[in-house]
Amino acid sequence: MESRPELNKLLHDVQSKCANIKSACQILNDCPEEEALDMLGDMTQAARDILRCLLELKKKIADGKEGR
Amino acid sequence: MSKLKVLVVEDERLGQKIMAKHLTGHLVEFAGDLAAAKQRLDAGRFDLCFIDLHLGEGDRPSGLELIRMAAEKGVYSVVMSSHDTEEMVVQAYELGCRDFYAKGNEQANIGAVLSKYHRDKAGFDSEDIFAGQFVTEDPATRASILEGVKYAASDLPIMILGPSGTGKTCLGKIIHEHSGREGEFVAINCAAYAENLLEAELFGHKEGAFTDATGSRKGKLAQAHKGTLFLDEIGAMSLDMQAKLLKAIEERTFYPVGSDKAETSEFRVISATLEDLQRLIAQGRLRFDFFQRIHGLTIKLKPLSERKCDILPLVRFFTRGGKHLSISQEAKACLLGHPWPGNARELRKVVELLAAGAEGRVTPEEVRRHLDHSATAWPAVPFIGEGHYRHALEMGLGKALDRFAREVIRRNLAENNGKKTKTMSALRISARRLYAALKEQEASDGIPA
Repeated sequence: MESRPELNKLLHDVQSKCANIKSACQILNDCPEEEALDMLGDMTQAARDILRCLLELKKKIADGKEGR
Repeated sequence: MSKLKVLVVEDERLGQKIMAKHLTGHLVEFAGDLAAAKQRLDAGRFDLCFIDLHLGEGDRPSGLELIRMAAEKGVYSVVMSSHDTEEMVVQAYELGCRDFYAKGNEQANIGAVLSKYHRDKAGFDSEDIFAGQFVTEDPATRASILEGVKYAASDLPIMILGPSGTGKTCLGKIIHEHSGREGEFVAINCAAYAENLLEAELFGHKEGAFTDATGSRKGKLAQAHKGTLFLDEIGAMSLDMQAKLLKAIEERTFYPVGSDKAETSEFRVISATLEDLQRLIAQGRLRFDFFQRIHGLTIKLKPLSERKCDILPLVRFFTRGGKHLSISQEAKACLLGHPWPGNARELRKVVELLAAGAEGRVTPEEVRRHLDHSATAWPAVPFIGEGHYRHALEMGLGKALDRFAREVIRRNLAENNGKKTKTMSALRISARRLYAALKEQEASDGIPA
C-alpha cells in the first residue's frame, strides 16, 4: 500500500483513539460508577470514530486501486 | 509531592479525561487546539506541559510548534504521541522536549514523567549521595550506584548482589528515595524467618490464623503499597514461598494468611543476595520464573577488601559528629591491611569500639585488639571461601592447611614490614614454626623467602 498523506492522517487517528481506549481501560476500575459510565460513553464514541476511520480508509484504498 | 501547574494539549475528550484522572491533585488546564494552547502558554506560568503532536483536522504535527515555545518559557514539555516515528522523536528532542512517550500506557508513563520532573527540579547531585548516604570513592562502586539511581523512577525490578555489609540495603533505600514513589521503603530479611512466619510477615495474617495470631496484622506487601519492597537474602526463601510471592508480584493481589479475601498492593521489588544466583538456579533452590520476575537491572557491590580507598573515608564518616580520633599511620596501616570480611558493617563496629575506648589517639595495638575480636563477631561470613574448599579437596586437607598457614604468616610479615618478632607475637607461633613456614614457602616459590 502506498503512503499517502490522507491515509496517514486516518491511520494516526485510529492509533490515537485505540491508545486512548487502552489507557481508559487501565483506570476504569478505579473510577466511581458515575465517572465510569461517563468514561464508557467517551470510549464508545472513540470506538465509533475508529470504525468510521477504518471504513473511510477502506474506501480511499479501494478508490485508489480502481483509479490506477 | 507539591501541586504542579500542568497544561495538557490534547484535542480528544477521552484523552483529556484520562490525563485529568492521572494528574489528580495537580492544577490542570486543557487546550484542545493549537491556538488555545499558544494563548495559555503565553498567559500562564506552567511547570509541565503535555503535548499531543497531531491537533485538529490537519495532517501536520502542529504540536511541534508548542515545544519550542514551552522550552523558551522554561516549561518542562512532554510529548505524548501515537505517531512516534524516529524522525519525529529526534525532531521533538531537538526542539527542546524533555520527555517523549507513546500513548496507550498513561498509568506507567505519567508517573515516570512526574518522578523524573521532580528529580530534575530537585537538582540531583551525586555528591550528596557519596558524602552521606553511601560513602565511597571507588569509581566502579560510584558508577554502580549511579546506574541504580538512573533506573530509580522506572518500575523495573532491581537485583543487588554483594557480600554481607557492603551496603545493599543502603543502596535499595537510595534507589527508593530517588524513585518518586509515594509509598514506603519496606525491607525484609528472608533468612530471618521460618517459612510459616515469613509467609505471615510478607502477606499479613488474620486473627486466629495460627496459634499466636491474637489479632490481624498487615504484611510487608501491603505496607509497601505504592512504594518499594526490599527482599534481602532472597536465596533463603523456600520454593513454595517463591511461587506464592511470584503470583503476588505478577497479579498484584495476595491473600493474607487465614483470609479468603484478596488484597491488592502495587510495589516495586528490589532484591538482594550474597549468593550466586546461577548456582542457586542450578541447585534447584531458586525458581527460574521467580528469578526472571525479580531480575531486571543487576548491580554488584564490591567487598571492602576490593575498595580499600573507602576504608579511611568510612572511618571519618562513622566518627562524624562524635569523638574526633587521631589515628596513627601504623594504626591506619592496620585498618587498611585487614580483609574486612564483614565489610562496612564490621568497620563501623570497630570504629565505634575505637571511639568509645580510645583517649583520642588510636594506636595500632588497639586496632589489632578490636580486629581480633571482630573476626569472631561475624559468624554469618563463611570462614573459608569456595576456592579454599576446592583446593583442600584437590590437594588433601594437610597440604591445604600448610598452605593456609604459610599464606597467613607471609601476609602478617608483610603487614609488619618483615619484623619476625611481631609476627610471632601477633600469630602466637614459635620461631621454629615461623622459620619452617618460611622454608616451605621458599621451596614452594623456588626463591628465598
